[in-house]
Amino acid sequence: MSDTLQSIFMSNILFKKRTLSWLFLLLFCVMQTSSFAQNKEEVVIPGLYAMPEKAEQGQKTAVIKKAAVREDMHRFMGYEILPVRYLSLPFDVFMKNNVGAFFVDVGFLLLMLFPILFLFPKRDISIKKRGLLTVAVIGLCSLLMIISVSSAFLNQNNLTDPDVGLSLLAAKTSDGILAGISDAVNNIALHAYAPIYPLISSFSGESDSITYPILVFLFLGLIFLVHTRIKTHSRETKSILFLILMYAFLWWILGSGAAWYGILLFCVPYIFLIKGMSNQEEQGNNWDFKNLSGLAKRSNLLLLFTVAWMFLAFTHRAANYNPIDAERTKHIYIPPITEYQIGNISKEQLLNSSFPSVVEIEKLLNKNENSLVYRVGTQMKFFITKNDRRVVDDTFLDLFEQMIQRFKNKQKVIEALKISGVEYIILDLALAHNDQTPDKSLTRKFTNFLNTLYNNPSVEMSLTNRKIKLNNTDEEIFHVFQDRGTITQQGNFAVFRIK
Amino acid sequence: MSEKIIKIISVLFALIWGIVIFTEYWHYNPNYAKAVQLFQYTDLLIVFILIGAGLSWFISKPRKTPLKLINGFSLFGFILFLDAITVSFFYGKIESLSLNTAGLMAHLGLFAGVAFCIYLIYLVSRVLGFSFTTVFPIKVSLSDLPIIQVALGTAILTFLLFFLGILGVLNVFIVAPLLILVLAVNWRATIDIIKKSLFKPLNIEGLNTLGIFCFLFLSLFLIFDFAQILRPFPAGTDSINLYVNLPKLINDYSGLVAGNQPYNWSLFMSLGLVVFGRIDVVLGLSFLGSFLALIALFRLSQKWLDINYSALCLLLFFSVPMVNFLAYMDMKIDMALLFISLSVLLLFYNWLVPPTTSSTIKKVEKKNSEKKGKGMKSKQLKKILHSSSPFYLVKTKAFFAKNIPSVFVQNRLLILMGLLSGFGFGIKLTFVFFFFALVTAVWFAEGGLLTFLSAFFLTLGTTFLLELDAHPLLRSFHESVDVLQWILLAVGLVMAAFLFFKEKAIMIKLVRSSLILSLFFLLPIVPWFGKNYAETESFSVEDLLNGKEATPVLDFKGLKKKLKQGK
Repeated sequence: MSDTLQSIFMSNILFKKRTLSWLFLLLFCVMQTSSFAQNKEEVVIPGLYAMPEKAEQGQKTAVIKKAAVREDMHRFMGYEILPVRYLSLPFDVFMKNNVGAFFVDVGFLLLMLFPILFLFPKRDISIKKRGLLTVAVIGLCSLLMIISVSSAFLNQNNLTDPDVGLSLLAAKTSDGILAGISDAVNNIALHAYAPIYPLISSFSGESDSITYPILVFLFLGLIFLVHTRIKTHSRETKSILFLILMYAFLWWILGSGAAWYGILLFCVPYIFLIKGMSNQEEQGNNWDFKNLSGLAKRSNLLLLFTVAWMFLAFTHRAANYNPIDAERTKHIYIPPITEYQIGNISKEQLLNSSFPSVVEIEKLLNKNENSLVYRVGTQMKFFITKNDRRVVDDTFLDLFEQMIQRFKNKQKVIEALKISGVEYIILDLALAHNDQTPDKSLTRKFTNFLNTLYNNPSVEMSLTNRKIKLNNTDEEIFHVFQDRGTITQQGNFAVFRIK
Repeated sequence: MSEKIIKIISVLFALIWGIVIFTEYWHYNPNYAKAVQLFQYTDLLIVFILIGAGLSWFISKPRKTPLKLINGFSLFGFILFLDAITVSFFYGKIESLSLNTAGLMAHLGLFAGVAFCIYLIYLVSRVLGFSFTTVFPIKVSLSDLPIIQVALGTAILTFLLFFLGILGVLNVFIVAPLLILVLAVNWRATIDIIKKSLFKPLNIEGLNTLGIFCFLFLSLFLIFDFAQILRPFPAGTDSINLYVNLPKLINDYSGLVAGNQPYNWSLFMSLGLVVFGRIDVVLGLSFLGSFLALIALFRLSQKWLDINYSALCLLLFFSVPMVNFLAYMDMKIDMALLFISLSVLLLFYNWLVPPTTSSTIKKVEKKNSEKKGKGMKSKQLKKILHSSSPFYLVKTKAFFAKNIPSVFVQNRLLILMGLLSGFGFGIKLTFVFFFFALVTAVWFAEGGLLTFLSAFFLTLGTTFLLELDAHPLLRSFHESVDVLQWILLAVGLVMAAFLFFKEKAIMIKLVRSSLILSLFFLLPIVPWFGKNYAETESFSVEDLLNGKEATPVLDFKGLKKKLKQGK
């Protein structure tokens, strides 16, 4: 900005005409505002849409080219300082403390039992090696646990400083035995993490030069641990395990924490976990019960863990992963789907129960198969004919952000869409609920987007399932904005037509 | 003394670790407590436990001859029976809903109907795979061969669909007769596979109570999931916007959809609409990926575990919420990707541990001795193994056997691993994690730890050089990566050079293996590159992988001009 101002002032025309130069300066200041909603042409309805605070200053900021990817994918990794983000990732994935939904739940058995396997090898490892293995495993697990538990607790409470976290814990009262143990664990972890965090913060932030080398060295250490543990195992066992190890590392650095990208990791290791904890006889090898590891001799432990996990998994599945109340936990099947299957309801009735107003939306948006539809969230794309050619996807408002930077005001944004052939805008009214970013960038963009549609003579609302109760009368109408009343039915979609 | 101390420390740490993990998991997953507190199906659980106990008693009864009752067909009947029980209990709990016999029959009919459609596609894949392994025989364990044939057949079928899609003739009038032709031309194999998959008694030797309960509860999870996909629309953001949307568009256009990363599995799934005209069959074909992954996992686990613990392995994996979500709710293609990964792992295992001809002959001899036949010589054995093969396949096989270079003949399994990996890459680009890991594992298998480390550094350096971490936008966080990639490559090359001088023969073999793997990995992707090049007319990696979508791109500069001009 300073270079641009200088060039303006150096210009002869502007230098001579001081009034004009001040006007240009004012225009530049207006153009440099980062929030579109601050444009004087916009109306921000105070109290209805909260504008998020700016991100914490003082840390290194990585350049993010596409905010959409950050909002969508990086939420699984978390947004801690870089080394902590990666080191806590295995724990975060199993505990799902970054994204708490069931669709990323991979259970706890692997995380609980796999490290323990290292501590109880077969008798074919020497005492010295076994001692070193034990020290290394305990040391590594403890360090990762301290970092992971602490960062999970701090994230959950929107904190970064471990000392603040300790104060919060001190003021907290535990509710039950398990909660008490959890609080005690958090306490110990935070105390141990308190001196580690400043050390990591001193050389890192949102970006650094040290995290990748740390991960490489850690992985090399892990290779040696694994190799020591399975040195006497067969070539095929070692080869498969090393394949899994390499796969795990690549997922760790490239997978953004999305568990399903590394689904092989939650599948093949069970083979070796069960192998290490069971006492089944082996054909062809000199199998001797005495040579089995301590764990394998006590294969009832495996059965105990299995029964415990299966009880939890079955009850959770029986509630269709939605145990909100006693009625919902009866829904082992989704009622409308089963009603459709037995012929009690029609296909259209089933569609409407899952996608409210989908039949009307289909009719509206497919009336003109040459028109374009601008889509912000919603799952309606599937019901739009030729949707690969007609739907402009902007789920995380990346495109919209570029448009407001170019066109500056909402009339021009809508006009630009119209010129491009867009006839309808369909949006998910709950889009901002997915925002896990610390700076709430998605919320900000969504607010700006709603403001673009609000009180805009170039658009008219065609369809929505949100209801408001008018302030003047008690009438309930289908409407998106709260300027005329209070919301009585939230709704999840709205369709606007560009006039 | 020191051993005791180590043991005590290990036990103490194991206890602490276990408690910490469980309490943290319980804290971050409060839904489990709610699900247990509000559990409504205790009666159903008791019924299933009683069924399991009954089965356990029945199967473990001493018998003079092995039990022949349990085959694919009877198992499916049992599945329908369990489904009927579950649906009945469900309707019994919900007061506002009612179920009559006609409704139950309609549900079971739909269940069976969609399963039958899926079975037909499975049959076509299996027959194609069988034909392939007839022409190019591979040395794998007999028990692994069926699942590998299905994987190969699925890849071949998808390849055929790709070319029909390019021609714009992906419609029922072309595809259905083609599939019938595949079954008809190889009718002996078709009948043989139908007999084996549906009517041949399953080998349940050694199955005990643990195994029975594991299979029973696994069946329940499968039933709960499969029953939910019998609907006329997909659910879940990714499947509705992409993975099931693509089959719909393919069906609408009778051809391929412009743009998008390679979509092999969505193309395969489109058979549900193209041939059967039903979305639930599309979803069923997606579910087939999950089912086949379980079979492949079962085969793999049996290399180390017996039938009961293998069943436990499947149950522990399939009981995980994320897996269920992928199987019935948001039907991404990751379960199909898992199926291909496990199939490649099976090939890898067979490459590591080639089955001996004697063990193969012994199995067939044992079967024939049960039929009171005599022992077989290898020529007669080959006749039996290929008795289902039509003459043209045998002729084709003889032709290739004479004309294929020996390097390909000697490395058949590597070639197949490469081809299937390429097919997997065409399902989802994240398959590259597995492929890189496979290459490093081959290096480990042949050369040991030091060779693995060399491969690790080279692979990681290549990963950063290709900027694979830029795709998920992670690269920008790591300031030193442009230097690090060269350090890693240098270390890898130095190690490789050292190993070359130390173990020249092994290193030459490894380089050749890597080249074969990589070449055949790229081969199945070339058609997709061709399609994407035709759309973009660009050789950049980005354009070759993504193509050009038909969605209009907003031309901001042009729009700005038009706005200024008042248009």
